[in-house]
Amino acid sequence: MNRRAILAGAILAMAAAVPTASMAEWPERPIRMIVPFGPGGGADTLGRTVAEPLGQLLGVEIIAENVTGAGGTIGVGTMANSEPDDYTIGVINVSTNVIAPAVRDNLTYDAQTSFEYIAMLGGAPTVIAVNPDVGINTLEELVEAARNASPPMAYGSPGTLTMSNLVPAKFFSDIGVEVEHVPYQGAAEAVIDAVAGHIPFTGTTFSTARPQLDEGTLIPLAISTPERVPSYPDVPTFAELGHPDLTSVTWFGLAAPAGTSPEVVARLNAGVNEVLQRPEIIEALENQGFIVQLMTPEEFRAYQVTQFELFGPVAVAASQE
Amino acid sequence: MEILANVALGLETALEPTNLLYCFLGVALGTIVGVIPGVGPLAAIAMLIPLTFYLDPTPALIMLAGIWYGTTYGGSTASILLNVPGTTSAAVTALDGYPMAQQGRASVALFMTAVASFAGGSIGIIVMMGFAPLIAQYALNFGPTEYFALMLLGLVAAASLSDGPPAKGLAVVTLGVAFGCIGTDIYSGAQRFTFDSLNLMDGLNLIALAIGLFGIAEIISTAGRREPTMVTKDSVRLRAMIPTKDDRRRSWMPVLRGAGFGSFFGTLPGTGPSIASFVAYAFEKRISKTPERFGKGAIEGIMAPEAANNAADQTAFIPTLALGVPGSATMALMLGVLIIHGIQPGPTLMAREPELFWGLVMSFWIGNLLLLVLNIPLVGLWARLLLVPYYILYPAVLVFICIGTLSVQQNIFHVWTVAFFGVVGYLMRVLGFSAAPLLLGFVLGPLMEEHFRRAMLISGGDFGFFFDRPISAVVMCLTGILLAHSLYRTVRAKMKSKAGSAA
Repeated sequence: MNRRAILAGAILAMAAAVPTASMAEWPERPIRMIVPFGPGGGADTLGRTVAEPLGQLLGVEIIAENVTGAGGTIGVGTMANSEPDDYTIGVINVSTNVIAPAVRDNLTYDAQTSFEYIAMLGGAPTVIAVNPDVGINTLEELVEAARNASPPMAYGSPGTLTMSNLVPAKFFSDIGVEVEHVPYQGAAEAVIDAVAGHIPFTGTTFSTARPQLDEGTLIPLAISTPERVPSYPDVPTFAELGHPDLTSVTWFGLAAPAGTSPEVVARLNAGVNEVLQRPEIIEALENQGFIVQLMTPEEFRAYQVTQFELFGPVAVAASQE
Repeated sequence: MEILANVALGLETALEPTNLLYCFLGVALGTIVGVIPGVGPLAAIAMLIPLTFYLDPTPALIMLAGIWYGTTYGGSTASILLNVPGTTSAAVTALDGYPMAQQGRASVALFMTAVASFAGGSIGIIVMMGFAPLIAQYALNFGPTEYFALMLLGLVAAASLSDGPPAKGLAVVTLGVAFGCIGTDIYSGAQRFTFDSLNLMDGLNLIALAIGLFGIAEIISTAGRREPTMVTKDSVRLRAMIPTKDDRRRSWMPVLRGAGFGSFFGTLPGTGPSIASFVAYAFEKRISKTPERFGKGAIEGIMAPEAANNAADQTAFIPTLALGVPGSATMALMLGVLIIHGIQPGPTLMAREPELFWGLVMSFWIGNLLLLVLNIPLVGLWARLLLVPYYILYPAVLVFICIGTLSVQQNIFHVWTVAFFGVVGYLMRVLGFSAAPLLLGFVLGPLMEEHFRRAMLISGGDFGFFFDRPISAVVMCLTGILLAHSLYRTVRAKMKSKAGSAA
């Protein structure tokens, strides 16, 4: 090793130490954003739609990196266990930070302690939709039909432990009616079997069901948003039908490894919330089936905790069926 | 005459310079992606999605579709030359394509698969143009019982994929089913055979398994022996790719039948090109008067699956565009592109966006023609690859396999999967087991389980459900007849050989 190499190494070491030393300069290099799902999926498009304008706002590039597998928990684990260097963030969602922690014991992170929660991005609501030939037009009629059915009425979902499974599961268990859950490999497959009448009704993400709702090949009974969806005002929410706990969506948010500076978290939160208020972003996300929700870091963390309390037990019950 | 007006509208759209350019880009990229082992259409399309945000929806979809069917053209190349399937749907093409290459007939095989691909693609497009809405409605009749019955038929037909003693074939199918069980059970969310490893939660990667089983096993076994190569300078000249009269005579019907299977399976959500090519191959072998030629360079064995997977590529768009229901992950990505551009997919898409629909369909014609023109001159070039000595070629192939499998999910685990199945494949060769049934068990086994359990959940555990519904009842009966027929053939052959030895 010659002197020049040692000198270069010393300069590099100093450079690496600088960012944490002078917070005022942040950000001065690109930010790495770990997306725990594959390119083209919901988390990916949502993350990228927000990352680009957010990067412009902060004046640096935000580089998305897809680290996939095990229902997103590999990528989220990679992010959580990264150095909290203020330049590593990642997309998290309801399945990686609420459902998986409730039912699995092989995670490489703890949903409570491994993260700084930055900001909520938005969520895809669940809708209960029924095949028109069944002759049911309201949630009340569905409950009545399910109560009297023998064998129990079957409903489809995009998969075990997805929100479109857990929202109907919680609904029927809350009112004490037995139904049979039939999981599929994805929302599209569940929707097609409901349209074809192989199953009478299905829980699914709103965006997947929407073409069929437009056509009248499926009838929506209730949606899991806190308020009615502006572009689809005819569908009642669970909340207004007397089930305020079922205001739960397949949400996605941003987080950083625990130990990331509070200033950075605050600035990222402000940036995200500014971007999420732009009409063109709201529209772009709604086209993809996401309803934007704004939260402070504290609200986001509290939201995760309440979601865990509400759906953790339901998830455990569903996984032991 | 409505169809003529639609065709005219479609051609007008597809021939616009921008659309033509993106069509060319798509198919060219597709061919390359198809040739590289490990990177399939799903990965390539997913990587390009961000780019399509800046395009109009029509050229965006034309390009992505071009990649999708372009990979199927390219996928057979590595299968034939190196026994390394470029894409999953080309895995069966290796069974007879690679022996052809070893016999010095690589050029013929490459040329003929390009022709089969074109013919299959064309038939698929014609089906799509004429009957898209009708077929889409019909496909809705396929529920869990029908799928289960079809898969069962496929698996029984697949028993013919292996040579030698049926017990060995059965053992390998079972091994495939067992490997297919690894991962998260979709019904209970329970972990099966994952040994608490996060990497195994999603199950084994099909393409990694196929590359290991065929490609790596091939490389390992070549390393051990000094290969007297049949490939000479003569066999890569352009003239060498002209098929013999016998080749042409034998290819005709397999192409038509393959395209038929492909068009059918393509329209069913959840099946698609891979299963279409498996079934087409198994069917050809079963009805052939000389099934012993299969696996040793039978031209039917490359023509049928290549026609099938290309036809399926085209008809896969039917449920996606005519119903708004994607049949596979790749098709879901394409729908995603439409949605991002504010176009709601659904049953009325064809009426609402005739330019998009017919422009896309007519771009399939242009794309398939481009692929034919692009691939035939390449035959000479690809075949020349075989002149490269193995000690240079194989390390290079290994590097490509590693990069390809790693880049898709950025997870080193998939590279280990490839290596593991390379060893499994090699051991199977040494012990005289054929690997093809393993692949089939791996694909069909989990699908069968999924549909069987779903049918049971819906029917409340009533087995009669499979015979209550007309389509599944017919398919179940066919399976029964097939089983009875093979039993009869086996018994008769035994009797004959007994009578022969007695006389």
